[in-house]
Amino acid sequence: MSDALLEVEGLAVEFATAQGWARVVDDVSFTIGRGETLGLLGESGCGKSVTSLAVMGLLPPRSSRIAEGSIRLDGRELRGLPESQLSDIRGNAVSMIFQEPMTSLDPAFRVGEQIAAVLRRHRGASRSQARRRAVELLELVGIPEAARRVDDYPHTFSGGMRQRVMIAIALACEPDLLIADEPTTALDVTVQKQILELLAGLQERLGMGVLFVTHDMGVISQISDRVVVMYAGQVVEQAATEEVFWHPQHPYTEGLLACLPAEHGRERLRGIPGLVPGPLDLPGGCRFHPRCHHAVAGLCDVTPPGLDEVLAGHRARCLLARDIELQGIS
Amino acid sequence: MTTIRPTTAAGARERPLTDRPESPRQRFVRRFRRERPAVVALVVVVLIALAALLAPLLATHDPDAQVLTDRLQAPNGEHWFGTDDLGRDVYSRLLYAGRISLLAAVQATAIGIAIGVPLGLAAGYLRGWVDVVLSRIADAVMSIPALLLALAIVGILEPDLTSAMIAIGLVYAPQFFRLTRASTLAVREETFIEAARSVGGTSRAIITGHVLPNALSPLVVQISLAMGFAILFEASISFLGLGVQPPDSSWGSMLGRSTRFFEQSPHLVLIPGLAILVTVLAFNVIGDGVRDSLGREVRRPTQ
Amino acid sequence: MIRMVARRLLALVPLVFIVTLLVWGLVLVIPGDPALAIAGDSATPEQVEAIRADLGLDDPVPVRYGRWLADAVQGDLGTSLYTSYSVTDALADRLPVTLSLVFVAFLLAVVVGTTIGALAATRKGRPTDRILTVTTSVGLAVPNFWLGLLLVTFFALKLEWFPSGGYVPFTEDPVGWLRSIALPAVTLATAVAAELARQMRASMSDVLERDFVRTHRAKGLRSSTIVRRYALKNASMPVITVAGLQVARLFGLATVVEIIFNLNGVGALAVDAVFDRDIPVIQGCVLVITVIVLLVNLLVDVSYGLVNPKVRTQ
Repeated sequence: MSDALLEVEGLAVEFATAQGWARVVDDVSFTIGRGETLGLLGESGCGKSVTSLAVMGLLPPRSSRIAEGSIRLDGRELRGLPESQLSDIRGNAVSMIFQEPMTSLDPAFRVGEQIAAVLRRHRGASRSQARRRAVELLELVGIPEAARRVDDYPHTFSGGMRQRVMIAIALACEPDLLIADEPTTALDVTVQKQILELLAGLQERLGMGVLFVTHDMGVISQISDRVVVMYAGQVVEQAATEEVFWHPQHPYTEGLLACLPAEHGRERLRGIPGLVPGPLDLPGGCRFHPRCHHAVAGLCDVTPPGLDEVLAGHRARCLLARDIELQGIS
Repeated sequence: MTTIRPTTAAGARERPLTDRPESPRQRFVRRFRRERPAVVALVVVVLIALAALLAPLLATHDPDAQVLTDRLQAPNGEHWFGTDDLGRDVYSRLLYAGRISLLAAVQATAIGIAIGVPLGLAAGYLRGWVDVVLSRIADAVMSIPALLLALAIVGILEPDLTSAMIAIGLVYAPQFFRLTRASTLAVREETFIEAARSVGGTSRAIITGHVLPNALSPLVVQISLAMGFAILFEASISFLGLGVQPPDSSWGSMLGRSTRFFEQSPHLVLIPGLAILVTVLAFNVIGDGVRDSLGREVRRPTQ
Repeated sequence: MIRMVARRLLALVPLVFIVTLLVWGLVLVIPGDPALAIAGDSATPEQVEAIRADLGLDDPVPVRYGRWLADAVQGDLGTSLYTSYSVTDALADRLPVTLSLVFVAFLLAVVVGTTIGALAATRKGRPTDRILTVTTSVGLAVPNFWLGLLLVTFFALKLEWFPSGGYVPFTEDPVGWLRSIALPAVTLATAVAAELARQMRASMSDVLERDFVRTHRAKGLRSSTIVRRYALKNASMPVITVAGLQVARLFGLATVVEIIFNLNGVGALAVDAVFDRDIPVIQGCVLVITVIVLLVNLLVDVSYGLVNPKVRTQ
């Protein structure tokens, strides 16, 4: 495992609430190898975005904290690093792109300047070097007339083009790891496809590890090598992508798959009855049992399941994993 | 302000039946209670108002009695806030001056409301040329520096307290106008107005029944801020000697005639100044508290 | 950009026209016979008649207004009723004082106010923020003439760091000018600085929670860089609008400040004229100051366009 790029182990993140610290991410572990894409899948509120922000060291200070676990990048522990050292890593070894391209760029500055800022911060580039590189980056992410557009303001770009600019910013320092938090959710289906293809192509070219956070099974199937499924702050299933799709070992994953339309289109998750519980009203036993139609009374509502290896390289957090037959897709 | 609000009345009747969602008023009271500084400020304002109201009972001396042998005394057991250059008791004078300062502010604010609110309703409800003309005039008035305009109006009328109050009211009226106009325009588009109109409600009934109650919340904020503003302005005008005339005095005129004695008797300047500061601060804090308790929809009354 | 300025300048014309109507119309409000009211109770009938002729009161209202406006446009604002001094000359004498005072106070208010507001926003909810918020609330409520008295007593009379009053022209002695204007400018700036600090705190808190700030953090930019270089520019946009509105307030409050610090500016001229009920002088002061305020507001709007790329590229 020492050749892993990112190792997250036993991560627990807590947020301050009126009732004290609430654990929103609990015992999350995964690794990402160089050049590998890991899909982090779950409904909104399951803790997947918090996990990715924790890796970036971007959790809001004071109102949140990493309570347990470790985050290692290239074997270097990131948890507990002072802000000054974290900021040396951000945008440099690890970059991130976000869900909302319309609001993620600074409206008061030219896009070129926003790209150049990363290069000047981490590479000590001169003004003119940074600008030249900014044009190259815009060309790399497929923005037409890059040399002219570099001096334009974000409001003159469409959503898809802005996401391309975000990608250019993220890739400016050729990071080892790219975290993409729902990067295509806010975009039209056609644009979504283009951005995914762009990301896949760039990953191959630059050999980055990618943590791809999404709620969309369809997107996951297109881009990721392995999948981590999260529910209510915990990892509930973890395996290679085909494994998860063909032989899901957790009823929640089965539910997610059942929501997929026959063609992997852009369909919101639905079909699992009930709501994700909040971190302050977690049910006893298995956190998913109130919504699970396989749940066995007296077992699932009493005993919290562990994340066990059900098949080779395939882990699931379900007491019944070995006893029930779940429906995948083929 | 005593308009019966049908929604609230209905809410009150139904409340005992079930645990319905709280009425806007209940929600406001609950939120306002949490605004600690505003609650404290409200208590302060009530105390100041009571002190002014009960001045004859609370005063230890005749505020106008001159005891020339007791001139310019520092605060002591007999004269709690000392005496002024004519040997008058500052504590007693402060109470009586507070009456005038507060009353002047109330009257000036009332003038501002009396002018601004009806015109704002008219402009917002009727739109068209009425709105254009009134809005242009409001813009023009607001582009003239307020204190300068107030002074000019005082100069035209005659320097006394009544002129000062009229001047302050006139200067502040555009604020009430804009606010009422904006609220009216917003409410006008609501469906229940459409409904009232379609069942044949008259303009007057629609304005008093629907538009006015809905414009009320932001008005309360503005009134609180206007009170603070009016106290400051009255103080400035009276300080210059253009407002309240002797033998009456307000906090501003107390300050105005004391400046010469500042080095000998700093209390003469400090005490009325602090009275103004605390009162204005309290009104502003109440205004902020009310605004924050009203919820997002009316968080930003016009500047 | 130039077209925008031209358009805004053109839009000022009707506004200034209404202002002239209001300013001149004040005369009509004088209760009773204005000539009698102006002359006072002890005046002889001849004096009243002279004033009547001076003001042209026997002509119909539109004629009188038209004559006044035509003169005003040509720079003739009439003659003082008491000193037979030309109002335009009097204003020309006094304007440099008021303009210096307001200019320095405005700079001071913008620098201090935005700094305090931005600082409070970055420390939101912590002791620094609380202290600054209380300070700005007090700053808004403090009567500025009272504050001026305290400052004069302490810094001028006790410590003798500054003169207690009087104006030294910049052209004569720049250092003396600054010393003469320092205390009045601080007095005048306080309320406006407090207002701007409130606005900046609200604006900056809002900006710091926007997505693009998270993007800047994800780029690895340092917090201080994000606040000073990026967030400040975004946060200043709504504050600029408010700052423009504060210019009128400064010119208004300057009247009292000029009296306290014995500065012979337009404000002091207006106050004297109000005491004397010297109508042409009052009208002249209000009109000229208002036109200046409107022009400064225009400048502020233009600077808003410079900061906000959306306005600029339109």
